[in-house]
Amino acid sequence: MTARTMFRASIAVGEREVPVRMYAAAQDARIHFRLLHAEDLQPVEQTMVDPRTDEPVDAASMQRGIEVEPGVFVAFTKEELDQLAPATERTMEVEGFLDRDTVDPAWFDRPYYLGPDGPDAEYAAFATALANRHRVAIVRFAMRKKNYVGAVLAEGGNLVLMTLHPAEDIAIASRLEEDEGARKSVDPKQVALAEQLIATLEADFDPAAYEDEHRARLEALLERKREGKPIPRPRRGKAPAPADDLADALRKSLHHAKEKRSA
Amino acid sequence: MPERSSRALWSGVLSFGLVSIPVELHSVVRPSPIRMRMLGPDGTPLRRRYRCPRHERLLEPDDIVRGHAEEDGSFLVVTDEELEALDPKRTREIDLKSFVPREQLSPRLFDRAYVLLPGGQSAKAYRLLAHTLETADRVGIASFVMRDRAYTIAISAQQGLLRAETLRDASEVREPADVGLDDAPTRADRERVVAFERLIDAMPLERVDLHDGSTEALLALAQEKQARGEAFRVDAPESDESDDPAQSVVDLMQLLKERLAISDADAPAASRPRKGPVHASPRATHPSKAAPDRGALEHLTRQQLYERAQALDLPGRSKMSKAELVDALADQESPPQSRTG
Repeated sequence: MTARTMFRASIAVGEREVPVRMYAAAQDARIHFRLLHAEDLQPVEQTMVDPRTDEPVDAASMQRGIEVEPGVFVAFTKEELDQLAPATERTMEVEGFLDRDTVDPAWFDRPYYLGPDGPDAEYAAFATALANRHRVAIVRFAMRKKNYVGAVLAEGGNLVLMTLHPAEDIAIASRLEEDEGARKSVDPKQVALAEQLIATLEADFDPAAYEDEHRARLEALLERKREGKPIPRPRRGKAPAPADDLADALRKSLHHAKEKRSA
Repeated sequence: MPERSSRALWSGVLSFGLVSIPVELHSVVRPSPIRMRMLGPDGTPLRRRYRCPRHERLLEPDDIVRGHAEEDGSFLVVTDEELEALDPKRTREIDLKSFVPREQLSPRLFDRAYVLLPGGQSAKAYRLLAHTLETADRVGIASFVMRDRAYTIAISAQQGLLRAETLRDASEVREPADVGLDDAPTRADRERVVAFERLIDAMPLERVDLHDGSTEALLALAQEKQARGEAFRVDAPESDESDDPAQSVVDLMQLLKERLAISDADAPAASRPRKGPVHASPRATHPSKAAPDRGALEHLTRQQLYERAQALDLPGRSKMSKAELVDALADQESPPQSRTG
């Protein structure tokens, strides 16, 4: 099966170039709900209104703009926005290499595969070198009138590109300064118990066994409704109450976990 | 000054064995304050509303139901209660049943990033789990239900803070073979690999600047237009998409510090006076150590001032005008005499 190439580019590392083709690595596959008007079960539309009057504003008289300071807005013309839009940049210039463990997952936006474009000797060597050094390449490029910062990493001999969220959109600093109180208030004996519990519950990652279970329940619910069967009355979920004695709760948990494991 | 708080997207209990930790889930990624919006002819920011095309009128949240699209084009209505009843336990609880080494999670799986804030009266158990996960370098895996779907979630810890990432499930990710790539690609030529390794070693990065320059360019153009008098002053209250939870993420960092400060107490926190405002640690990336005078501050843009206020954790900054920010920063950056730190 061949997938659609979204973009062709070339990763530039020093004087070496790795030509690549970009493919989407994620797809939307959920059960979808539509929002409906309760009265006539028509799918709703979205519309932009003037908040003072609730009057819809037609597309032709809308403008795009930003708030420069509280309560002050500047609108842009289409020409101005076109001028600001970056030209396509097919050279993914590598800015440098970051240790893989220091990459914060909160930066990740969308995943892509980068496949070789043409002969793959350089591609294979670059992927191997990235894996050997446990690093990711930070690249910048522009695609479809938008600038991107990305992280290129090796996975099973292939290259993966994660596009990264712009700094402005990330609500926490990735390196927090830990306050002293935090360390002090942790009891070493409890930590030892918690560590044992984690070790007992250690497993290999098994992607989403439960997800399918939820989907199956949802399908079953939809089926009952289609057949007009009664729907079981909702039970309210009850969350467990926090334990008074943390160490005691840990000890009991450990006991249960070990029993389960040996069973 | 009351701080507008970040809105929790989910709240419930994080379970670790028999230890239950009340938590709130907050989004880490939210639209930048400086972002493109739709404006009316007079510059008023517009609001997004739902509308029924047949009745030709705007709808309130109570007028709206959720429907599943059927093959014949009709819709099957499903209520929130019915969805919750599918799995009441996981609607309220994130039960950490297994812990996996971090490197088993491909970055391709990560969908959206959240932080978990302690939600109860004491954060002791929260701190314990955060500390232990971090030292053990393990990621807890659980599944839970938020609104109309179930998610697999990965819980990790960084500097005392619990982080959560929803993961894409198997039907949402493509494998290399799905896009025509080899699972076992060509063996690499040794000499070429060494050449790349040398380049990698020669270009180490300590941190990444995630700014891509587009916000700066937009702001520069806007300020140029503002200087020419091409700006709209709008009296309308915060009006643009104020229903959007992301919009109310104003001060996640402040909220976080407050929540963690609660648990400094060994005694039940309820009976203790709340710790004062936390100014303790201006972040490492403090933009200027030297106290600038007012004049220097007045030359900065509101955004630049805002970023400084953010680094200093000034409460109420998101609501401040440029002049107020200058005042607040001038007070902070050249402190009178005593500031506890």
